[in-house]
This record gives sequence, structure tokens and C-alpha cells, in this order.
Amino acid sequence: MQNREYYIPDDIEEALSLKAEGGGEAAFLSGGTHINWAPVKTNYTTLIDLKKVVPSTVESTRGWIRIGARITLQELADNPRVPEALREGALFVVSRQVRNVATLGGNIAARRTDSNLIPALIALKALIQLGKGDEISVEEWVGSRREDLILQILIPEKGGYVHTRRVSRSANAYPVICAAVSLDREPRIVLGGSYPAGTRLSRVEEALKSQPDLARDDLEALVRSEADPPEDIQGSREFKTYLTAVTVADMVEQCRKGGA
Amino acid sequence: MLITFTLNGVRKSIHRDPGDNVQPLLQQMGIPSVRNSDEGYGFAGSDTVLLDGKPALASLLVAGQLDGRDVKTVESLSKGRTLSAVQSAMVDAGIVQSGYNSPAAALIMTDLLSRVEKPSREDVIDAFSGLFNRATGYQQFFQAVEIAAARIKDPGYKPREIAPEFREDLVHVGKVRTKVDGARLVAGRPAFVEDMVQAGSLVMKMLRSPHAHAIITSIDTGEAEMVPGVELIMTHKNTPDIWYTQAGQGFPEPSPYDRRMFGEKVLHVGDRVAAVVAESEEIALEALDLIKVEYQVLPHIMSIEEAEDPAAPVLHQGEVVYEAGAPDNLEEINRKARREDGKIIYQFPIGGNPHHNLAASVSGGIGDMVKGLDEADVILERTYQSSQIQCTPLETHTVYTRMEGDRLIIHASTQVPWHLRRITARVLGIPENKIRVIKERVGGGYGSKQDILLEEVCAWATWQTGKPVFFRFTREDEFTANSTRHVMKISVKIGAKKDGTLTAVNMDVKANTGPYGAHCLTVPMNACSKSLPLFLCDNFHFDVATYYSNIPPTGAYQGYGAPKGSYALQMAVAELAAELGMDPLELIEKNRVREGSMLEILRCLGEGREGTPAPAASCGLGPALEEGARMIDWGKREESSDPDIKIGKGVVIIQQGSGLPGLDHSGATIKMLGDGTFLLHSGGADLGTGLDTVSVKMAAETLCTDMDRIAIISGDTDTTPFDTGAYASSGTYFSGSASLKAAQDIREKILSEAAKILEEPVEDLIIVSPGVVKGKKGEIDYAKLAWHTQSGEGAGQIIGKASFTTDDAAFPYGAHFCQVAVNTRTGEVKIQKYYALQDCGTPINPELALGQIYGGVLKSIGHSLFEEMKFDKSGRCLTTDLRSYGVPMIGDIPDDFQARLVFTEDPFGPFGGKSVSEISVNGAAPVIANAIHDAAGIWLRKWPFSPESVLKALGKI
Repeated sequence: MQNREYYIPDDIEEALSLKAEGGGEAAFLSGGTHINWAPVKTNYTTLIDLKKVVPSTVESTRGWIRIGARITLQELADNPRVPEALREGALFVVSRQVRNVATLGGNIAARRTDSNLIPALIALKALIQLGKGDEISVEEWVGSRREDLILQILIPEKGGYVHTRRVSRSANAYPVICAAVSLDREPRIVLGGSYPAGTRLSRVEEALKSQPDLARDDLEALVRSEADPPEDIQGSREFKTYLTAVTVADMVEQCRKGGA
Repeated sequence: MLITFTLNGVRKSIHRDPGDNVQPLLQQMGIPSVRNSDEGYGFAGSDTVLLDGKPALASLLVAGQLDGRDVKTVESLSKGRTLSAVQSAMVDAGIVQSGYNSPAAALIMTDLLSRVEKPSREDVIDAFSGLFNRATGYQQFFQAVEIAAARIKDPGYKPREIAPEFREDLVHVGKVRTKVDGARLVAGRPAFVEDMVQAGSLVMKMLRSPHAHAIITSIDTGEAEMVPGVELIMTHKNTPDIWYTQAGQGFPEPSPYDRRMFGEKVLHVGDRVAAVVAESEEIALEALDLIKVEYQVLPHIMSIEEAEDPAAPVLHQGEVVYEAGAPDNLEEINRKARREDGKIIYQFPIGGNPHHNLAASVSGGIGDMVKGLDEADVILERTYQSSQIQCTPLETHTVYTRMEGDRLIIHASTQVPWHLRRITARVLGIPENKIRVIKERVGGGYGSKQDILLEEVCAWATWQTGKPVFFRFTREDEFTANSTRHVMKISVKIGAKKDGTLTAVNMDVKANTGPYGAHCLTVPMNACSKSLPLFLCDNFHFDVATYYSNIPPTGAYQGYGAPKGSYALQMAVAELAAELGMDPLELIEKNRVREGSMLEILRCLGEGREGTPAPAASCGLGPALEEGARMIDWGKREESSDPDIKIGKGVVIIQQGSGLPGLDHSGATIKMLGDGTFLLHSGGADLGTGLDTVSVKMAAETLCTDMDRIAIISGDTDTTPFDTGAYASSGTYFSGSASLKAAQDIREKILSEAAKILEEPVEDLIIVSPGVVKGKKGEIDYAKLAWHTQSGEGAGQIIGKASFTTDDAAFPYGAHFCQVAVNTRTGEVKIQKYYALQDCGTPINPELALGQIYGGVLKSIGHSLFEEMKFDKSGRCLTTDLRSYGVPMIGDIPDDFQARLVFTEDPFGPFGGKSVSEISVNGAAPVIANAIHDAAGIWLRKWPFSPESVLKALGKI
């Protein structure tokens, strides 16, 4: 889009102030792979480039891994201090050219359903630190319509084993299912792809909490009863429901084998 | 905003709108190689640049983001006219085909090798994960990386073998040599239509129908015309009332003339409604929005079944006209003609009945089907369905037209320069000598650029305004207004004895040609003509019926019906084998064509006219099957440790033609220049496949000189002789043969002139490398000969010329084997092994031939497993981008992917060469389906073999 205002603020306050002035017509710009992406067709008249404001480093402090929101997906994938589920999630964005520019913060802000990052973060029980200093869970963010500045992503160091999976028809196709499963004290089954970002199968989670050894067939039946995918160009509802059930069941099995 | 950044090592400060997209920005700054293949969808990767040293997509960046950054494009890789180690490795390995995004590939490879000294297979796949390359099939990228890695350390490095070589008796033919246009393309030099557009040219944008079937009841362009900068608006009211076909075929075409430039009716979502020609794209789009159109929406049909229904809405109920062979009841037919439907003109009967949505039909056969089926111990009848598949060239359809004096110059990305000239002349109502078509480099054609999809519109705009006009399809246009595969439903009835001997084969082909009948007879016929002759049987019969419908237009796509026919017949043979309890390979061996077999069935399979039986003069099926069976360990059952994974193997045989004997015509001339080098003028249209290199090799071989002593100009209707065009696998056999004959002609003249100068009999002279005529007493080199003949007392510049036509047929053959792993729990099909063994006689360019095979196979793996056009109830296509449509990328190639060239001695091809590209798309669908059956016991009789279809066949859903 042309005739845009473009700002590169020096600090958080300036960034927040620019956003407040521009309201719904102003957007924070991180890598830009979402805002500039043709299918999104955004009409922001003001872009606020965060390159001086938002960090991109990875640190461990006080039991938390703190990841700067401007870290690119490739940097995330390459950093051994990042939990494996998140590194995998980054690599599920198949194009290396996109990963070199797209950022974790931008991905979260865009609430992308075609990425495994949001399911992985929710399964990891991650928080995000916003520009004004408050912290909310990624799950709460995704369920809201907030457009705050995302500064950092916080992941508990002892978050437990999380298994992620991406199911698509071909290597670069839109995923039918993005999923992250964790079987900690609090099981989490988080979906994306055909599902709205951050969809959780709460009844399945409850069942696994009370019956950690739930049999595969019963588990699949439970998933089938709870999953509610739309029918669209990627397949029928019946197919997606079935596939979600077998995928989640297999991932639960994987978690049982690979639990930390 | 003032934006300061470094571009290829040079600091740039520009004032730009910070929201400007970086891809066109860089092109405007003089970097043509950062290309647009998908309008900012961030999928194809043709817009790859290095941003702060890392590959990034220019179309996902806006200008403001460049501030303070470092940008490198392909120009940074080398100095002057040299190539970097990466670029030269790419050319050597044969991965620079159309070259449209070879610069992007070069940047990606350069980055990879800067990060990883010895990249593994996974490293290469990861590096190229965001690059769509339709032509090459990716497999040779691994070798290119190896060569580049070695050459970075040692600039003089030459690998021991890039590809197998053939014909020890020849110097260039059959050998790995440098593709003549490779350097230009990998260096990102201006080469494509979009690079030829002069500043100040007008831009055309098209208003397209939102309805699948409608009458335009009113169209008001008044407000749009008032927009400053609008030059011309075209609708059905002010464009020629000429009916034509868009099919690029020889005249008289076996396709109905069933469209006007702009019609009063629209017949598909995406059909032309109006065109705006303006000073800029922005102005044109603004004007487009102001055109007011009212439609009377009509019911639409999308499938063969709907079209067959006697009560179906009729697409073409206009006046039917026959140039020859009109039926007796024509007057009666035309009593029902509707004015708004216009006309439909047949050059000769093609079995059409347009008032019943029947575009074309034909039947034929040999022998006695009743007898044949009576003799059978087993009869099998099955129906197989293929889907609508897009060509998806990296370079969308594009054209640039301008005036030069009183002549119209068309810069085209086309397979058919002369058909384009002829059709445009007719539509514009001007003589052909007022038109020049220059085929620029083509960024992928695959058949879709055999048709005239936009050139005539742009040409008319220039002819009216006198101004240059540029028109380019968006990627969405490529899905709604391109020419796709014909959708087919093919029923095969096959009879055999208990021992597997075929007694009768019947193919009933029903095809969906969409709204216009381009290739409506010949593509479905080809489904039969390129599958039935693979088997020897006394009793063959086929019926073909093609229907109109409101799906997006179909046309020619590599394979030209053969992939569908091959799928049906090879599957039927495999199912028959299962029914008989026979090994499918054994059944194939029992019935297949062999070298010397006379193919009687060809009598009934001409292109709109009677065909000619021909022998399979060379046939490499035997060695291909033997080698492939050995490679895949045919007969050995493979097991997976995962109980849900079933592994199976399949085998199919395939064939194609090499051009159209009796129909195709190619020409070439070759001139000796003042220094004894040569300029070859070939009518052939090189689409990136290496046809120019074939022609140069023909000449260099014949004239005993080096390839760089032969320069080539091709595909220009002013400066090169007539050639029917690059389709039907005619390149090597026809265009290459014309170049060979022209070289032979000039060789005779060289000897004749040399004889006079040397005063020796012609019979005593020979030509030896590097271009010396030797007699028994003396010798003269080409340079001296040129001086003599072009001097004031000379006989004149030595020029050779030739045209090539033939009735002889040269059939390429192949055997494809594959091994799949079917996950019976998820429906996923993984191709573990794919071996494509193909006989193209003498492979003229071996490394390029292999690339064509890999490319063709991956395309057809795409249509077998992944690609799908989906529509909503109104007939609108929902999958109008590459990602949702599902093209295969490097992550989809088989784990073990090998192409092999099987040598045979063909008596007809130039130096024994037969075609190799088109045939390569015929094997994947049936061989994968057969392997799936071997693995999981299910027959998949409909494209694509998606996980959902696998699960349904398994009864899981």
C-alpha cells in the first residue's frame, strides 16, 4: 500500500504513542511477512518499525527463557537455548527466505493459523510481555483482539516435553493440522491449521488428566467428538476430524515415550 | 521518505513512498532479475534477494524496511561478463532451464555454501525450500551444489561426470556441453518480455467476469474513460467481430472458432469483459473499477455429466458455420441460433454439436471388438478420472506490443510465433507482413503458451492507439484465464486370455474442454493415440466426446492428453494383471510394443484427419524395463517397521511422439560470416528446454567446428524461417532436423566453393575440425573461404537453407517404476523411490534431457498427489494461488529420484534424436496408483490421490 507514514521510534514510549495516535490504521512492523503478505491485504496507513525498540535476544533468567519478539524464525530455529518444540515450530514455516525475515512476535501478533508456533507456545505455557510491561498468556492473547506491542516471549525453563506436528498435503501447502501436545501435570492439546489459532481440546485434556493411560481408541473417539473443523478446500469435515483424532492420538503416544 | 541502503555494494539514497513494494522497486532501479511470480504471496521465491546477507523475499518487504540495510541481487555475484562458481555450476549441471528464477536460485545457493561447506541433502532441501521451480524437478540441484562447492575451492574444477554421454562417433551431439543461453539467464540479464518494455509504455488491465455463465446486458465505460491517463477501453462493442480459436495449431485448425476478442456472453468466471489501457497500472485499475456492467446471469455447468444432460444450459448456441464439410441439416440447426451467442466456425467437421454442448467427437479402431471380447477369458471394465491441472509457469502470460513505422511488433512469451502472427493478423484484419513476432526467452510454457491467450488483445490496442502496450497476467489470472489440462473421464474395457494376451481394448474418452474448444478434439484423441500403441492387439476401439462447460478454459499442457490416457490404460492393465493373478510387469512384457512393431492403430489417430500406420522404428522399452526392474528390485516385498505403513511398487510403460509427421514444418537458414563463423537462423521456439543448444550442436557437428563458432537467432518471424512451433514434442525432431539439414546444405556449398578455389574435385574434399576443408593437394579454412566468397570477385556469401517435413515417426518410450509407502492410518503417500528410464534415441543434450525428465515427473507427481483446482457453487475457483493449489516443491521430491537415458538407434531423428520432455509427464499417475495398490490393496481411479481419497478407499472414513 502506498502513501504510508513510516516511523522508526527510538523507544517503547514513542512506539506506543504512535500506535495510540494511529489507532486501527497504525500497525507495528516487525519482519513484515504478514502485513506485506498479499492475501492479508492490510490497509494500514501508518507503519511503526520496531527495529530499535524490540529485542531479538535469547536469555535465561530466574527460571524463564526470555526471547525477544523480534527474533527471526530462523534465529529461533538455530538457537539451542530455545525449547525444541519452538524450534520445530519455526522450521514448520517451510520457506527459509520467509524464516530469515519473519519474527516470533509478528507471528503471534498475526495469530497465524498456518504456523505451529502458537500451538507450541500454548503447550509450553508461554507468556508474552507487552509494551506496557504487563504479561499475559499466549492463549489469552490469541483469544483476544488486542494489538499491543509484544516485547518478549517468556517460557518456563522446566516446561516439560512438548511434541509438535504439522500435517499438510504437500511440503509447502497450507497445513490441515498444526498441533502441539504436552502431557505434563496439566495436559495440553493445542491445534491450528484448519482450527482457529490456539484451539484447545479441553475435554480431551481433562480425560488425559484423570486417565493418563487412556487407550488409543478411546482417545481418538474423544477427539472426534470434540474436534470441530470446518469443511473447506483442504478437505471434508469427516476427513479432518478423523485426521485430527489419529494425529493427536499418535502425538500423545509420542509424548508418553518422550516425556521429560 | 528518504531511504538509504546499500545495493550490490553501492550506497543508494532514494526518495520513495515507504509503502512501495521492494520487488518492483528494485526492478525500477535497474535490477530485472528480481522477478514477480506470485504477486506478493511469498511462495515462488523468484523475488529472492540477500538482505543483510540472508535470502529474503523482496515482495514481502516495503521500501521503508530497506533503510540502513544491505541488499544484494544476482549482479553482486560476479564481475563483468564472468560467472561465479555457483552460477557456472548451475549451468553445467543443467538446472538453468527457462531461467526465470535462476538468479534467485544462484543467490540461495551462494548463501548455502557460505554457511555450510559440504551441504547434506537436508541442507540443500532446506536452502531451496522457498523456491518454486516448475521446470527442473530439483534433483540436479544436489549435483549443482556439489560442483559449486568444489569450484569455490578450485575455480578450474570439472566434475568427472555430469551426465552420461553417448555416441563416441560424434563430438558435440550426445555430450554434455554448455547451454547456449545459460550464462545470460543465470546472470539475470534482460531476456524476457518484461525486460523489453520501454519507459512510457501503456499498461493493460483486464476486467473479468464474476459469473460462470452470463449475458452482458449493458456495459458503461463512460466514467472510466474520464479518468486522466486512460488511453483506450475495449469491450465487445468496439473490438473486431471476428471469430477465432485461441489454439496455436496449424491452419486449418481442428478446433472450433468459438470466441470473439470480447463477447456479449461470458462463459467462465474470469472471462474477458473489458480491457483498460492506461498510462500506469494504478490508473488502469482505477478505471477498471469504474466500468459498470450488468449481467443476466444464466445457469452454469461444470462437469461432463452436467454437460451431457439434454436439459443442460447451452454455452454456444450461436450460428454454426462450416468452411468445409457442412452437415445436411445445418439450416435446421441454425434455426435455433441465439444472436448473443454469436458464431461458431468449423474449418472442417470435428464431430461437434455445439447446441448440445458437444465440442467435438470421433470414433475409430482396428479389428473386430466383438470378436476380440468373445475370445477373452477375462474382461475388465473400469472408469478413471483426471482433474483440471494448471501449467503454473513461473513467468505468467505476458506480452508487449509496439509500433515500428507501420508495422506491429509483438514481443511474446510464446511457443508458436507464426501461429500467433497468423491469428493476430486475422483478428486485426491486417496482412501478416505488417506484424513481427519476436519470441523472447520464455519463463515456462508447458503448453499453456501454445495458445493465444492475451497477445491479440494487446496487439489490437497498439494497432488502435499507435502506442506501446504491456500486458501481464496476474497469478490469479493464471488460474482463471489460462489453459489447463482437459478434464477426462475414461472408461477402459479390456479383454485378455488367461495367459495375459490382450484380445481387445476399448477406450471411451469423455472430456471437459471448458468454455472454449481449443484443442477439444486433439487432446482427448491424444489420450488414445499415445497410450493404445504401447500394446500390440488386433482389436482396438476408441470413442472420444468432448463437452463444453463453464470451468476455466482448457488447452494444451505438456503431455497433451497422454497423461490421462496413460493413467487409464496403464491402470486397466495393472487391474487386469491383478485379476489374472499375474505380475503386472509380466503382463506388460507379454503385450508391449517392440522395435519394428507396426502400429496399425495410428491409421485412425491423425490430428483431425486420417493418420498413417507407422513402425516403432526404435524402441528402448526392453532395456528400460530390465534396468528399472533391477534398480527397484522388482518382485521383492519391502516391509516397514511401522505396522501402519505399507510399501508397494509399481511399473508402467509410456510413450509420446516426436512432433506431428505430415503436419509440422520447420525451417532454418545458416550463413557463413566474414571470419568463417556462422549465424544460424532457426524458426524453433526454445522454451528453456535447450532447443537452441540442440540446433547449434546440429550445425557444429555437421560443420566440424566448435559450438561457439555457431551463433543462433531463433523464433523471430522476421529474421528466421517458418516453424509451426514448439509443441507436440517437435523441437528436436523437427526444428533440430531443419537446423541439421540447413547445416548439411551449407556444408555442400562449402565443399563446392572450396573445390573451385582449391581446384580439386569435390569428391576429394573432406571437412575436418576446427573447420578446414582438406583436399588431396591443398586445404582452406572457413575464414579464408569466407574472404574468397565475399570478396569483390567472390561467388557470394555462403548460405544454407532447409525446411523439414516428414511422414516418418520417431516415438520416444519409457518405463517408470516407483515404490511408495502408504500410511494406512493417515492416508499419506510418500514416494520412496522413483525411477524414470526413457528412450529418446540419441540424447542430444544429456544433462538437459535428464532435467526435462525430472521436471516432467515432478509435475506429474504434482497432479497425482497434490494439485487440485476447487470451485464454489457459483463456478468460482477457490484455489487461485500456488500454495492453495498445491504445486510440489523440493520437499516433495522422491527420496530416491533417478532418471536414466536408454540409448536406441533411431533411423529418423537428427543424429538419432527423439523427443524427451513431453513424454516425462505420462508415467507418474498410473505408476503411483499401481504402487499404492501393491502396498495397500486399493485402486485409486481419480486424481489426486489425496490422503482423504486414500482413507476413503481404505474404509477409514
